[in-house]
Amino acid sequence: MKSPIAKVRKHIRSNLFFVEMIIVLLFFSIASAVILRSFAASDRLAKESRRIESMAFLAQSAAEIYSGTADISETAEKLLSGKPYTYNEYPDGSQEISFSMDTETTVRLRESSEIYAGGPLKILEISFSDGSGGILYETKTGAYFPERTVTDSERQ
Amino acid sequence: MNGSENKRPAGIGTGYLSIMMIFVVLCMTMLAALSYSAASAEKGFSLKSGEYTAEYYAADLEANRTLAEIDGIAAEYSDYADLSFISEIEEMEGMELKQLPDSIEISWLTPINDRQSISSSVRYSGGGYVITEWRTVLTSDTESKPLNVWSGE
Amino acid sequence: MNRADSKRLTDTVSAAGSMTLFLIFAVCCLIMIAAAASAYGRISENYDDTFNSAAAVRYVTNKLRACKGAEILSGNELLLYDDGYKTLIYESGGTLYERLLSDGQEVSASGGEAVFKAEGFSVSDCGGGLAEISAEGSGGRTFSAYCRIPEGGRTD
Repeated sequence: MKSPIAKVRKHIRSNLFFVEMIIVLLFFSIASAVILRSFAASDRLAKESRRIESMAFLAQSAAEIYSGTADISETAEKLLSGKPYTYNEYPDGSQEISFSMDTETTVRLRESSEIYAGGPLKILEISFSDGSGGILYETKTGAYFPERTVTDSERQ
Repeated sequence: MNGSENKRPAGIGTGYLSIMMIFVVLCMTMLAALSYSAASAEKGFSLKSGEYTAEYYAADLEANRTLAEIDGIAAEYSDYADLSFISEIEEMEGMELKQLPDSIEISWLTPINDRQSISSSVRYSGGGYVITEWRTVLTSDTESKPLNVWSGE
Repeated sequence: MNRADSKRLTDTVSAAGSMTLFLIFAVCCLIMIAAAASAYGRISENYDDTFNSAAAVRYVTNKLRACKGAEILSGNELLLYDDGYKTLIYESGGTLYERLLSDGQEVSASGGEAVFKAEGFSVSDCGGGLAEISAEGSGGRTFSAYCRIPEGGRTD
């Protein structure tokens, strides 16, 4: 027969396990929530970097194509290789092409001109916006193709 | 004392759970810290690269603008050796002129940021120009200061 | 069932309950660690991509912008011309190498300095003075950008 002290000890030990379980679970759930939030933040940062990278590479490609062609439609054709885009022409003579880079990002290419005595300097504005229309990234490039005959073989 | 009193009670002893939980939480905290630092370093790098791309093309546009201005002046002259053409170009800020036997070379720098610039050169002869240089160059002190390397003496 | 049997049964059920709770907790811990490790793996893969494949594309782009002339020798070899020297950039075994050569030196894709880890690095001539530089990241991601090929600087 067990002594009353042993019985009490066993009872206390069993209760201690449950008390510990409750404390551990409570702490674990709080710690997990904080850590998961941190993972979610890291994931969001990684996603943003991927997006910035894609935007910068796309902007670079558009600018490089444009500096050789000075033509917005040709730039879009080469950049998108047949994918659909929307073309708009405005009364001030500027042209705009827009297309989706991914489900959340819209790319807008807008061409305008500055007139100089030798010919027009064509400017291409490349902007990326999110669903709400907020600008995520933008850059501008230019191409000068004078109307006079110019040997442009060494242009980079 | 009988034998049954010395036997360990069935179930998990006190403290094991806490030790296990501490280990798991520590592991997860380390992974979370590593992930966050990697992701923020990656974002910083992407932002800087994106910024540089924008700066480069903004400078490229400026260099093109300068070229358009030069060409605008040149369009009014048929002879590029004309002194008034030369003086008009010299009046523009940062222009470097080099007179060659049958042509004139105009060079200028367009800053990209505080370390780099686009170095552009055009050569005018006959009826138009040829771009002889359009590339990025270092403009900070790093280029002018030679590296302290052993020269073999 | 006598009282002793009933007591033993209660003890057994209590021990089994504690064990089950402990097991559930252990499984939860394992799941959390596995999820955290997988999230870390994904983020670290992105990090490697950014600092290797994407950085390689940017590096080659900047090299092209800074040189006097360039020539695409093959799908993964690019020769850059400068005053008095040439730079050969090539890919071998998933690593991007760079080798400096003096003007008269024979061009061979060996003995270069490893610059980046860049799987599937390629440079292709897209016509119109444009080159497409691309590198594959882990998980099938491809980084690619266009860049103009400078035509000057060749001495041989």
